[in-house]
Amino acid sequence: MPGQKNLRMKAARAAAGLSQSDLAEAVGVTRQTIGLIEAGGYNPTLNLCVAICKTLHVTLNDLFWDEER
Amino acid sequence: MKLQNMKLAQKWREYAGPKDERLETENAKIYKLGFMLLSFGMLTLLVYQIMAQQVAWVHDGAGEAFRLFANPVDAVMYAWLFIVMTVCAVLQTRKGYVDTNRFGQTEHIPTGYFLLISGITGIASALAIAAMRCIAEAQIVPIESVFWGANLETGVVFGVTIFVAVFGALCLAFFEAKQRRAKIEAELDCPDDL
Repeated sequence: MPGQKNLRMKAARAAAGLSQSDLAEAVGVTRQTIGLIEAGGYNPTLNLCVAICKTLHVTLNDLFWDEER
Repeated sequence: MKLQNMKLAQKWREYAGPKDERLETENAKIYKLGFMLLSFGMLTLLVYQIMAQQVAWVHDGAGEAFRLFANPVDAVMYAWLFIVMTVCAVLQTRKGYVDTNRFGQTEHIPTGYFLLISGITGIASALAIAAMRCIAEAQIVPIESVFWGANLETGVVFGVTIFVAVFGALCLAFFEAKQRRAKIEAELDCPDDL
């Protein structure tokens, strides 16, 4: 599976008390898409990144900015 | 009527829910593969059918008029294939590109790349056409009566023609896309937005 796992997104989702299905419904995608983003198997568009961040009340930097890459 | 249609479309969107961008991306890849398989498969069949008919005509039907297609339905089917491929090419150029790699939006015509693509297409077509003619001929006459040399020559003639046609089409698409791109960029640079 290409890409790195997005553990920060998984942690932020858990902290917000949302399941993958809840987050998927909130941002208008399928549960598999959320699962794949967290597993590093799908590179989301900026629109989807923003929607996820707004739902989880975090910033794009919190979830998607990686200093090491 | 239009208002009703809009309401109907809105209700449908509410019912069907939002579209998943990943599924749309995956679907686009699947349809792309399907389009390639379908169009190239049909093109191969079309060439084979024409070659088989022409070979049969050369051997025992020279007194009759040569018919390119077996029936009008075939002709319409292949015309439809040509229309669909043309529509795809025109839509690409209208979006301002001719390819999805780094040569797709260059300012200067990528002659070397276009020659390479045209050359590969021409050589592949020449070999495929020569092979198809030999296969078609071997099915209707004894193997010693097959015109190997003539088939190869025919393949080469078609290959050269296809090479020139593909190169011309690529150049035409490039200049059309470049013009279109300039128009799109001019609209994007609109000073009213500042």
